[in-house]
Amino acid sequence: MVLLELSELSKNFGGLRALDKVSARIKKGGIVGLIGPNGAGKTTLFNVVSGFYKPSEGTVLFKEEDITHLRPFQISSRGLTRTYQETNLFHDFSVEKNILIGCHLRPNIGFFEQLFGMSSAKGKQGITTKKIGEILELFELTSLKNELAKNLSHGYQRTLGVAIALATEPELLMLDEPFSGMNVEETKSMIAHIQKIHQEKNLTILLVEHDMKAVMELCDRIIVLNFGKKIAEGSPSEIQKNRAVVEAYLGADENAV
Amino acid sequence: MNKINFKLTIIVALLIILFLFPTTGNIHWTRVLVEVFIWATVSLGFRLILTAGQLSLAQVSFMGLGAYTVGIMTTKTNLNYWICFPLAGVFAAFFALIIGYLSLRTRGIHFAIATFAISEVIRLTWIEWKSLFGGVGGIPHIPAPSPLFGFKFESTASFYYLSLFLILFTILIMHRMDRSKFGMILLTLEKSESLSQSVGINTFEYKIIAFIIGSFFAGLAGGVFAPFYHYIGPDDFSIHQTFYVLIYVLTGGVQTIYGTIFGVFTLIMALKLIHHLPGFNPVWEPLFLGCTLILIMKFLPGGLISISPKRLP
Repeated sequence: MVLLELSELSKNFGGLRALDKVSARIKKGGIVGLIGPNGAGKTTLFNVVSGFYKPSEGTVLFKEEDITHLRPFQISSRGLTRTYQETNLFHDFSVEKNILIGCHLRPNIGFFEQLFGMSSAKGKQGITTKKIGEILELFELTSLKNELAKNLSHGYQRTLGVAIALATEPELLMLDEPFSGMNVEETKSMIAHIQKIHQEKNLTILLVEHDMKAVMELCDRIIVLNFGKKIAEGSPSEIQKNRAVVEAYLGADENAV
Repeated sequence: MNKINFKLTIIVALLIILFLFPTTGNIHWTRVLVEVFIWATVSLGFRLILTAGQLSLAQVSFMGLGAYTVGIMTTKTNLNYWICFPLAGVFAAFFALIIGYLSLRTRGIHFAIATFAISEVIRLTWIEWKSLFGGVGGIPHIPAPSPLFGFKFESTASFYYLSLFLILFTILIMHRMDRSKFGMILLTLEKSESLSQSVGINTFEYKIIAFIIGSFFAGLAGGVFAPFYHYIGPDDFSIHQTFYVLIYVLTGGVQTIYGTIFGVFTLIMALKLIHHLPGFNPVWEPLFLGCTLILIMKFLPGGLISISPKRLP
């Protein structure tokens, strides 16, 4: 089943064409990598799909529904959640509270229910507490749950970013450079976390990443962008052999004809 | 458990003092406290909007909308005050809905400037539309509220109890909001709006609800202000007054409800003391508040309440 379908997606910033007729289909259940040199349009693609930018042309279908013109919060409420390249957390809140806010969508508690603490809201809060416990456990953050987000080390902050996204119970999770700024150990444990949530929650994952080793290890399918255009798509081994991809990263070899 | 009892004792003691205060018969300080309650209500509304990361420079204009609603309705239509009073809040809230819908798409300084412009538009409308709002002369002879359950609103003490109930009602609602999920989400808007959106929070809706509720309480405060002074004019609700509110809130501490109220209380008391100084000049008022703001920002960014070793809830 196709979960996300991009057709002829373009985005112009003034005279700059950041995305140029990108089409792609992401099937349910896989881990898809989105790679490309700096400025290839990867983050722009994320911003367009998650509703932060409106595309200049083209459509985005999620679960066969047109989400092109929906606003970010509407898109995440349909089961598509993204993380950020830079560390984006509620810094003055504890780890636990950060995840609690991630749980905002499910179960949904109405405004007056929140304000006057009706019994239905209390029941739902019980469910939420249990869910937060599970997520903390999953990301090995339980011992840090009362720590303020700003006091965490970089690796844990990145992990918390993914944990918040997971709390929205997405079907498609989009990770923007989950390994950026991480050392080897941190990268390893992040890979393990991503594999774990992929299996346990039956999640489809789309990730942007520069760490090729991690991408090749994690992803079963890779999409390559360059100058806003899709230049290749395939399995990791196919991509490694693809000439256009090698040229995009290393430049064309003038002697080889 | 002991700590909770301690808090409870303080709150009960404070309430008893507040309820008994008018029996001392000191009319001057009773009037000062009415002023404190009215401005504390406006300030708590302002604080709520600030919590959501929006600086509304039209807060006192919404108070004015409430005051004019009561002023016009009680002088020109003879409607019962107790119908007009809630309408003061409702009318301010309705106006906030329209203005918020138009201006809350902007953020930070842009929103502040937009609301500043709106406050001027409102003030100029009061001045220019003479037949309805009375121009610079404002609306004189606003009658005292009609008796309620046999309780007559003629003395200062009666206004004292009216404003005391208003502020207690405001604190109750604000306290509930601070503790609820709604209050928590408001705080996230200021911290990271993009992340809030990507976890599915309709940030626009939350901001507009905060703006409406904050303006509603400003309107209610205006509804008490009008009959208390029997006269209202455009200068009562100018941008200067909004800056006063801003300084009260920042001086006391924006983090907590108690900090905000403490700021209003301390500074209004200080202003009253300044009035009694020999050779008093009205210019001293903004001068004093301006210096206070600078000192607080420099040395106590958390407000006066951050001095207290054991913070109240």
